[in-house]
Amino acid sequence: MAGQREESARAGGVREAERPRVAARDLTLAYGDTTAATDLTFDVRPGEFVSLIGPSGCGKSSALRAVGGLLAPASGELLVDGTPVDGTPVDGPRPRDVAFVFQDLALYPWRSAVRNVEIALQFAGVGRAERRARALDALRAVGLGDVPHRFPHQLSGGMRQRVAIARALVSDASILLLDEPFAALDELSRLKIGEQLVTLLEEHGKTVLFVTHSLSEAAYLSDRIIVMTPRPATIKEVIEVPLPRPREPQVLRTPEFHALTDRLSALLLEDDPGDVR
Amino acid sequence: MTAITGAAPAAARRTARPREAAAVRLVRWGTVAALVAVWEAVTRLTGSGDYLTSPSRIVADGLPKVLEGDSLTLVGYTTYRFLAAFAVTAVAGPAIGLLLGRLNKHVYLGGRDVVSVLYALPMAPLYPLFVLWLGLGDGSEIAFGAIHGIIPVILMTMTAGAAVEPAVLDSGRAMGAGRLRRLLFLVVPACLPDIIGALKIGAALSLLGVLLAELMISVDGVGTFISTQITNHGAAPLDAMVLVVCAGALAVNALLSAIERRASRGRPDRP
Ligand SMILES: Nc1ncnc2c1ncn2[C@@H]1O[C@H](COP(=O)(O)OP(=O)(O)OP(=O)(O)O)[C@@H](O)[C@H]1O
Ligand SMILES: [Mg+2]
Repeated sequence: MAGQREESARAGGVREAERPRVAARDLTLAYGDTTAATDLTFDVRPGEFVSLIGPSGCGKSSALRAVGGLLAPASGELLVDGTPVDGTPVDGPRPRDVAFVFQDLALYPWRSAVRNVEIALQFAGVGRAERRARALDALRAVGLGDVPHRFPHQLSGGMRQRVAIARALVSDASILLLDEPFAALDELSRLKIGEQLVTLLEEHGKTVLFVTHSLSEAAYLSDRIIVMTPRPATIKEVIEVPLPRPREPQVLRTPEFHALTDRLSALLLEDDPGDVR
Repeated sequence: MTAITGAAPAAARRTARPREAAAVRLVRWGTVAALVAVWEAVTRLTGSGDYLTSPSRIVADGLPKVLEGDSLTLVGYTTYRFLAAFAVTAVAGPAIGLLLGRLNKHVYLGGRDVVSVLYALPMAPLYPLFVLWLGLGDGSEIAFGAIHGIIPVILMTMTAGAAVEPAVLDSGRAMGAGRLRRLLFLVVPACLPDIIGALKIGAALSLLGVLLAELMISVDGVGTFISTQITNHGAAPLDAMVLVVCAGALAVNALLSAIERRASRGRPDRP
């Protein structure tokens, strides 16, 4: 099963007939008069792990919000599983097969960890006993099986992020939108936890759109990396990650890995105005 | 107002260690005991006035007059009116407040201006109108209590509702929750400590409204008892009744504070 993503990623070109889970065509995203991103055209294929990288404020979170149905595209086309997403809130259980981990996590301080996870199932209309069992399973899967009843303020930043991930996992949504989910972790832990997450996601056949500021994280975890320009952002380049899976930490020290991260930082530096303080 | 009522319990809870807690208790009750002692001493030395007498006489002479059948009935009337006025405040206040706070930005900003002005207005001169509309008796008194309680509750809950973080609501939308579910599962719990805090003030003010009404134009209730005793210079029963009212108000406040603490679980930022 671990090889499945690798295969689907490599065979992406061959299996053209397979419909992308997410398809953006000439997408423009705006908040009123502020244009966040223009001409975004990209696909996310089934089972793929795609990262978005780019300078702060370039519109990465906005792109995720659009895919998640929280921000209506100003123009262009956005399809999730072939269905247009127009940002109008869909009422009722599980509008789309999409789950979100927000940049600021959006955990509910008045709910314990397990009840924070449960609420995703509550909104989906799952019964009490079943949702408790599934929420506990999800917490165990992210290594928080021993602290289900702690409140968010009693957890470390990294633990809170894992609660947010558990909440995204529990809903059975097969597309995950992860907005810098490991921002609170040190570089090595984020790679370790990231790799665990990738394995977990592979087991569940999840498709992932991932935002990060860490080039090594993007390189280590992704099948493809979308590099964006500064605002108003557009796509600069889409890079296939040539590293085999499953990836071990040793890969961090291979020339291929370094070549990849060098290329990513070169791409980002090209557009850097150099006056960021 | 919340800041003031919230300050004391917050300070007490921060000193969680037993010795410090004991010291806080000592200061708290010591102050009360000292004030009562000074009161007793001063009133004994200078003699009782027409309206104020010593604590010992209040307990010995006044309290029995308040706790006898007829006066107790009056306390019962007022309690009933207060409970009715507070029920209206507690149900309609947060409902209207959250609605105004969450409906949209214009409703919130415009509504806040209107409610703030209402809050600033003195209601007492309007009481005769209440009597004209609703007649003398329970109806006008309950309505007067409710109007006192509900306006600050609306004001405070609409502010709390408008301040709910967008991220909280967005995540609800992302999980497929419609408007109603977001309101019930996200907005209400997010605002609950503020709602209960507002109800503490709403309770005090709806009691004030009922008592004002009874003092101004009325035929029974605690207000009538008080105005009768004022006319008769009945210092001991007058003071005893005031103490009973204070004790009732404090009991309601303590109950709501306990609820507020429960509702603030997981929120170290709250009192
Ligand atoms: N709610 C909003 N209203 C108005 N403008 C917004 C809003 N949210 C984001 N923007 C603007 O849209 C642009 C893109 O924001 P976005 O959050 O998508 O950036 P980002 O790439 O995720 O940045 P970061 O890496 O710092 O998280 C920014 O210029 C921001 O100012
Ligand atoms: Mg962002």
